[in-house]
Amino acid sequence: MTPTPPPPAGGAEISQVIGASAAAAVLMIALLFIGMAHRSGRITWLGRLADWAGAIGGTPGYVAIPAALAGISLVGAAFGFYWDVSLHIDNGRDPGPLANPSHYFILLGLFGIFAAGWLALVLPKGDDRPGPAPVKITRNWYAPLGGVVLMAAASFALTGFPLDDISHRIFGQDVTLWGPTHLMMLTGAAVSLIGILMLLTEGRSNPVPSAPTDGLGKLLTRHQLSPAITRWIRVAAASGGFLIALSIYQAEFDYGVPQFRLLFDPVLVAFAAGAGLVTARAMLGKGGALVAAVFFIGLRLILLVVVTGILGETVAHFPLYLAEAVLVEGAALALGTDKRYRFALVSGVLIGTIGIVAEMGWTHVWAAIVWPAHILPSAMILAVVTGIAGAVLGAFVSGGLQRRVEVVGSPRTWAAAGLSIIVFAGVIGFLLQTNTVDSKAIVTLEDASPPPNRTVNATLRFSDDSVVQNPDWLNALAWQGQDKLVNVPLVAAGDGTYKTSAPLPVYGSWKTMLRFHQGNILSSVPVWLPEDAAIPAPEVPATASFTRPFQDDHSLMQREVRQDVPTWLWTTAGVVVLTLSMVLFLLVGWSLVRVARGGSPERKTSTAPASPGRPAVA
Amino acid sequence: MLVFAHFGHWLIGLAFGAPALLVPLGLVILNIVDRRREREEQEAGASPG
Repeated sequence: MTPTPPPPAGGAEISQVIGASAAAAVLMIALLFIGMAHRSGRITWLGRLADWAGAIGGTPGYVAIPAALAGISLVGAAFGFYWDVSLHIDNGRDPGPLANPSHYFILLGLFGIFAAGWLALVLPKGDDRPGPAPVKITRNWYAPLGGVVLMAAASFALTGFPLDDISHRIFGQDVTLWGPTHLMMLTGAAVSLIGILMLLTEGRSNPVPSAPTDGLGKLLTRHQLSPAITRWIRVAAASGGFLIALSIYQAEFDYGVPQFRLLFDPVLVAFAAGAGLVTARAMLGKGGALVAAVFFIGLRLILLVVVTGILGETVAHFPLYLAEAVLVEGAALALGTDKRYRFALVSGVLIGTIGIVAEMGWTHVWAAIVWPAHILPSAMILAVVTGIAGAVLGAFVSGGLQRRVEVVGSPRTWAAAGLSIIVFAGVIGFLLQTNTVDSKAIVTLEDASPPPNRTVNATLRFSDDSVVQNPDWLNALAWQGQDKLVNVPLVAAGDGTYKTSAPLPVYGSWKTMLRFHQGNILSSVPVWLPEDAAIPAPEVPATASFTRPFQDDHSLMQREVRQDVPTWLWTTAGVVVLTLSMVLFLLVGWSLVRVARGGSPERKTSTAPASPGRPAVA
Repeated sequence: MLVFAHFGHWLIGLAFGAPALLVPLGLVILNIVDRRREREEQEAGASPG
């Protein structure tokens, strides 16, 4: 019998590449053809469809179709994303880009966002220009800013696909969520939420198409909600979606396979809460932050039921954001949201302190990685910084979307937003630095079940046990074994040894290791690693007892990454991705300022007060 | 096989990344061409005769 060859570790197989490329090309050509045919008047069905959808949705057609398409695409992409990550955790790397079914959802989702952006650009025709500050493409073609942002965000994300494949070829496969090209896809999807919210803002400047006369249209408009409530629901969904999008960066912690310092978790939670909840509260008025948190929990629960309950993959835990939402609501009640940056500052501080304590409590109830109490001081200091950074960005984004010139229109406000990004990046850069512990692992294994599906209980002793003081985690991880991952803490036995609290699989494709994290130390020692000819890497056997040095955690978690790549190549790749990211962020910032400044003077400075009868959606 | 792998990168890059970059680029070029034409028309209209 010929053994099954391992999946390739350096790129995609040619047949799958051709399939994916052909499908993408056909979709793209069809999309471009339909758009240009609509603009030249060769087809009229797209305009009629947009008007019909707009009449039913109570918004201009150029908003109705793109917002709905982008929203559906994002939900599909989010499902694909969480399924994909869990599949990789449970099964290891893919044989190719289409060998994993979740990739279809991600691909189609990102294409859907691109299509939504394109449709938003091409749909507006005639004298009624879209939104208060449309972008002139030609003298008779004006595009809404939301469409420009959607298109740019999707382009950024889609560019991540070919760059990802090239990156795998040069650097080897990076089995981490935080690979630069992976971050491009995630960030593109996240930024598209701002595009949707911007379209919703712009739609208020144009008339809603007249009521449909066909049977289905009449039926759908018969029980239509008031335009204010419909708009509130849309903005609530987009704001909740924004919080979900900001939380995708935490996924490694959600699943229990973080490859970076534990402090990243509270830092990222505070940033997401600051940006997402401040935006939601400012946009929606009273209760807006709570609505966003409930939307977040609801959608994450649905994804959990589908990915784990139905598809049987590893559990993705999640933070609650409820305490942070209450704190943001409290800050808004006490201070109001008109002085946006004061509101943001207080919200950020509350999120980084009380909010983080609450989330720490929640990790003791339900989380893959528990936050130990000793990290609290560091976590709070850093979370206050990133909570404020996120909240200031939320203030800027919501100010632009509400067309509040005083919130986004001056160099001081641009500096505040820019500084927030720089400070957040600085915290990330600081936390990325890690070291390896200078100690050896003396391990004994006791069989819990015999071969061929052998499992073992492990006992660990450090050659220098003084290195262990307050571990952020000391656990055993087994993953990529074609089953749900095993992630169990090591329990101190009292005699200087640490014992696994459940048996570990040491057979087949499982990758089993003991992981130690304390401060900036992030080290691991392999218990069992299979031979992997595609990398290539030799087997590391699970012998009854062994002494092995602790290694850099990344070298075990990302076995596929090549170690012989020159530093300048890494630097160049990082600079390329960073430059593209900066261009996207600058475009979003410019769009927010432009949409706030556009239109009549009285609308530019108006604020929508929150009241139960009139949602503060702007 | 290496040739095919590089060909694959080129192909997938073309199909996924190129339209995402070329469409916005095309719109920018369209904008520049239209502005130039508009300016030429204005100059022609403003000239005597």
